Amino acid sequence: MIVFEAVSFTYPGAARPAIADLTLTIASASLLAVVGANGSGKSTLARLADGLLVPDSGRVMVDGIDTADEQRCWDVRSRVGLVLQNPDNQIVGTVVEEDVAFGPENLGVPREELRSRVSDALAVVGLTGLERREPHLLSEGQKQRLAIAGALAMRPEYLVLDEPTAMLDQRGRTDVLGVLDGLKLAGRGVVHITQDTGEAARADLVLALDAGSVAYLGHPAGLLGDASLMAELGLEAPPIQVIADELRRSGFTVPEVSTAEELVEALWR
Amino acid sequence: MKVPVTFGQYVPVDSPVHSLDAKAKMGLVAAFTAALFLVDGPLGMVAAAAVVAAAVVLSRVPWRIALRGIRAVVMILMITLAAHALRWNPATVALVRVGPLAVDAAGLKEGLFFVVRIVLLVVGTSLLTLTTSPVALTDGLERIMRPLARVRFPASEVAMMLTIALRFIPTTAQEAEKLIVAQTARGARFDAGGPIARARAYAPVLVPLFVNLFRRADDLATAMEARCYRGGVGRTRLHESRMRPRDWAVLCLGTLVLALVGITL
Ligand SMILES: Nc1ncnc2c1ncn2[C@@H]1O[C@H](COP(=O)(O)OP(=O)(O)OP(=O)(O)O)[C@@H](O)[C@H]1O
Ligand SMILES: [Mg+2]
Repeated sequence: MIVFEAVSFTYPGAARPAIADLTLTIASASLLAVVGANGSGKSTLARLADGLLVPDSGRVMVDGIDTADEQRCWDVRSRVGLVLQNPDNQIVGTVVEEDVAFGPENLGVPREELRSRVSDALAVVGLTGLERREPHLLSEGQKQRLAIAGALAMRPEYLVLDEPTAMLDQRGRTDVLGVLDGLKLAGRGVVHITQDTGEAARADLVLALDAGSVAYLGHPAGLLGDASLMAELGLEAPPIQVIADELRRSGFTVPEVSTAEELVEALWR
Repeated sequence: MKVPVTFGQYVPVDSPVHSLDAKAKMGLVAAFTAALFLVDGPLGMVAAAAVVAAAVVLSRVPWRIALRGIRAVVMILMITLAAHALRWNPATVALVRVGPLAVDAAGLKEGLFFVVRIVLLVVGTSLLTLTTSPVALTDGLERIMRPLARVRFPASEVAMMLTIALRFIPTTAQEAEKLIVAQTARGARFDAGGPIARARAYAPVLVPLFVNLFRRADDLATAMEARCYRGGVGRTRLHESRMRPRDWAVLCLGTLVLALVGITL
């Protein structure tokens, strides 16, 4: 469990806090989506979860370890995998497989296991066969997959991904969302930061941030069904919501739904 | 306007020299350099030249590329030759004499000896970078420097630094290209005017390039920390080039031959 207890954080020199009084629990075997406008504090939240940033007040506990405890910061970071927003700036290796191996190498994983971790991680993101490719020769979407593979190879308990599908095509997007579902089923806690409310609808829990504070925390349907809150937060409704709204306007009684399956189910009744 | 994305001088072909372990090659280059400075007769120079020629042929690097390194030292070669061969008002008999300036036969011989030594040194050592990929070179360097860790030399960190530089050279070159295209689209000219005007045209490219470089460095540091990088201590490696029996054999025999050449000739 990752627990945020009344966490506030202000960047040095910034006028207002990037995260203000945030309380949140990220459970294992669950998928949490984080949405919010640009600058609402999503990336800051990711860094706080990993202990890369330490709260000014309140605390973040990862499986009972305080991220402010410098002696145990590597414990925290090996438990929480982080995929940053810009893939190009987080690829360290000169070829694909070296980059995937970078994290486990740092953890001191023995060489035989390194091999299998690298090939497993590459298989999961669909980059098998590109082991010897140089990163600058990859497409943006492939770089994004590589960044995810690099985090997966560390076998973290929790994985925080900052807009991991932003540059992916439809197929890549489906693949990555499938990977996230798989991780959740394998008992990992997944935090998926996204601009796409359609993707957020698939989560168990959605957190909407507004200027660093919690604007909504609960089931996706509750946020997606609330058109005025969505507009207030600068979020765009996914197509399925637009359809549901149209149906309501045409006189159908449609409950709050967040996915196509739920809508079909509701209409059947 | 094209910024070359390939860099360094590595010639990627298959050859016995290419497949030799980087550490063995470094050892041989060191032995070769030592031999070159021990040799003190023309016969020794001929033997050293034969060694270099054989290595170039084996490496299948085109002669044009193998000899390219000489271009950089032409000035040094000319100065060396002049310093040895030219005499001011010599008492001895000279080969050629122009006023007080004369070319001395013994000096010319000596000068040529030094010129050949520099040429062989350049061609021989550049064969290392021509036949070893930058990645293999960095790995080999780290391995060789590792004993220095005992005297607190950060060998692993230096190797990491080189790796990151290698990783970001092409990315930065691509970015420079993008910036040049963007500035050209806005009417900037990179090919007009004198050298100063041309240099000035690059300012709008270099400034954002450096700003981005610093931002990149910041992000990269965060990403490395997130992936638990904490220096070389306790780090394992996916690839560690191992010296195979063949590498040892080539290194030992090669060193032996070079030692014989250096000592006897
Ligand atoms: N290194 C920094 N120094 C100072 N202020 C920063 C820094 N990084 C972010 N901020 C500020 O903190 C706030 C939250 O930024 P954050 O990057 O967390 O937003 P975000 O929700 O991830 O935005 P986006 O959707 O654009 O990725 C913003 O107001 C931003 O300007
Ligand atoms: Mg962000």
